[in-house]
Amino acid sequence: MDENMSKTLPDEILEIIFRSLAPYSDLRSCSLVCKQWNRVAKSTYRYGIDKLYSGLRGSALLQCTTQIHDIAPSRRSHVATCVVGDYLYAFGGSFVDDYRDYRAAFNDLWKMNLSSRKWERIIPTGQYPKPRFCANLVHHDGNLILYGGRMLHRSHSVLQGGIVLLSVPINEIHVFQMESCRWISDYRTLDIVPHISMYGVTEHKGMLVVTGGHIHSEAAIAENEHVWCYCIESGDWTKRDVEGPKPGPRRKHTQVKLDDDHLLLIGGVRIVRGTDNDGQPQNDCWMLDMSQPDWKWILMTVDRPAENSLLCSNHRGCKVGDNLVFLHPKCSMNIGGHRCGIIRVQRRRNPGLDALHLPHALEPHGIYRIPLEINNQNDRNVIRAQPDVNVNGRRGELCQDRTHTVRGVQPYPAVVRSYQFEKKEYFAYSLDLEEAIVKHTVRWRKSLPFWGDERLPVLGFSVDYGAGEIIVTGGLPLPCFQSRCDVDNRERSYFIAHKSVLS
Amino acid sequence: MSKIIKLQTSDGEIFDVDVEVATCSGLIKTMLEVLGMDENDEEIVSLPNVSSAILKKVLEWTKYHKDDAPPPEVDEPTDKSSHEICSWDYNFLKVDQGTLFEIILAANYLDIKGLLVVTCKTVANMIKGKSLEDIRKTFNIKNGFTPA
Repeated sequence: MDENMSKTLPDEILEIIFRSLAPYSDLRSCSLVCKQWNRVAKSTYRYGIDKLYSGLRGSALLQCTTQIHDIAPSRRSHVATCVVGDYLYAFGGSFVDDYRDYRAAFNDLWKMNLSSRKWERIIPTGQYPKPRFCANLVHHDGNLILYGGRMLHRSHSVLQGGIVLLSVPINEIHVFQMESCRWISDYRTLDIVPHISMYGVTEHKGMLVVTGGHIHSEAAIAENEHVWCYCIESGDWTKRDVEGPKPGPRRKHTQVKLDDDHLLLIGGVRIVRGTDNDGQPQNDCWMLDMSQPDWKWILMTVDRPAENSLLCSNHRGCKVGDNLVFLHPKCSMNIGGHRCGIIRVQRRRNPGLDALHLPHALEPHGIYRIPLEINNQNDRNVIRAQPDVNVNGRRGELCQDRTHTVRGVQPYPAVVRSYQFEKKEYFAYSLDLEEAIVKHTVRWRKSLPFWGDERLPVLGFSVDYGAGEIIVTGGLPLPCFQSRCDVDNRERSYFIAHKSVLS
Repeated sequence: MSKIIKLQTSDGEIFDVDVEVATCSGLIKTMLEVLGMDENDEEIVSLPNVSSAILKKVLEWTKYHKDDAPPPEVDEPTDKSSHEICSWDYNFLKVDQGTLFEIILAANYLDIKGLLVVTCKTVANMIKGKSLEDIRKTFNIKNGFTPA
């Protein structure tokens, strides 16, 4: 065998080989082998990232690869995730049943090795956080910080004649020390810290800056407009009053770090005072300038506003370089001649319940699947939601009285908003953040459509950025794909990257 | 009666190959389109960069795969990751490293995309999950590199 085998392979072939490797530890090992491999590995790495950026801008093709896992966290949504080095950490989440009601919450911690694409369960010691979902996990200095979220709470309700599962927000902070694999609970200033979930958080100079969030109680809604800061070292919470115009109270928005002194906030839903219902979806964009001692909110100019305002109010975005990416699952199926969509139903609060002054944490919402009746094939805009015996066109009956969660309560006249999905085609919308700090402008861009697995999740999924690829985990697919006996039901995760010559 | 084309390797051996099989190679396909092809053509296509042993292997692969449909447009979900190769190819490529690298170079020269892809994936599988030292050992590469 020859001495230097690599000399027989030219650079362009090495590059094709390296593009087959996940851009993490394997590629890194290759870059240390010899000078030629170093050069080619670096160029492959850079190529992957550049092509992803081009794809997000709509000038290159993206592709979505499905990874099926034999061992994975069970089906769940609203998981707190964070990418650290070559691993994607995932904590908690909730199990949601076919009627989109929360049934269970988790507190297990998993990590996915992004090189081998395999999940590993971490068994830490220490003080475990309570099972929760809708929380956030932030990495700082070898620690993962978990704050807030919602947990499920069993309560006996006389009115509803049985046990009710309520979801309540919590305000506990836990820190996971990665090296020693221990959870530590931070009890220091819990009495003043708000109980929130679905908030935005980013880390700046050793501080967690928290905005918005789903807070319960009238007084706390006013709190929502403030910015909370948690000093990681000392554990002190301070409430910052920011002068001037502010983004209104909101939750489910996306908050990202632009640099140590700036953070960006976009979208979300307005919090309507006095109710737990979702208010107006927002798609305005604000930047918090923290460079001066007096912080300031700046309203950003949005170039080419997103055609779909629901986009940044229901899905979390993910920062990819200078872009903030929102995945838009656009998928529909024709099942048995009926077009099915997901309809989000808001039940108006029961005036009877209000009279009893039950805790505001009661959340009687749910999502029904109702076949949409369409008058003629060409007229997609005429949608009439009809109560129907077919649940997603397959089997079973839609229970009118919903006895399994809210006993004896009639479904109220509903405000219906529908999401119409097209078949299997997906888009990635990205917000260009390049001129955000200097010119206070952000611009929306749309990628070319890419094909994906029909079971790509549409609700409650987590989106993270690895090196040159976007990782989608958790979440729920369209109801008709949730559990079918004829299809492989193992857990899946999705990797969106540039379209490679090898596929 | 299918047409036959003659391919001559670097060591002078001449192979008679079906045109259908030979045109899996982009290089040969282009050559034929440019040169034209008559019924009684005695044209010999010379391949100076490919030895006869390697050409034999390449022809074996193209003969097996010549009826392959082009890859589907939509990414069908399967339980194979995109890094897996079919079992026939896997057995076919159980050769020593020198031969494997020569097949890669031949596939690159002859512009046979499918073969190039599957051989590169094989090499990538040899790299995956290995430590730095193991990679150097597998490919017999001297460490002429000092990280700055």
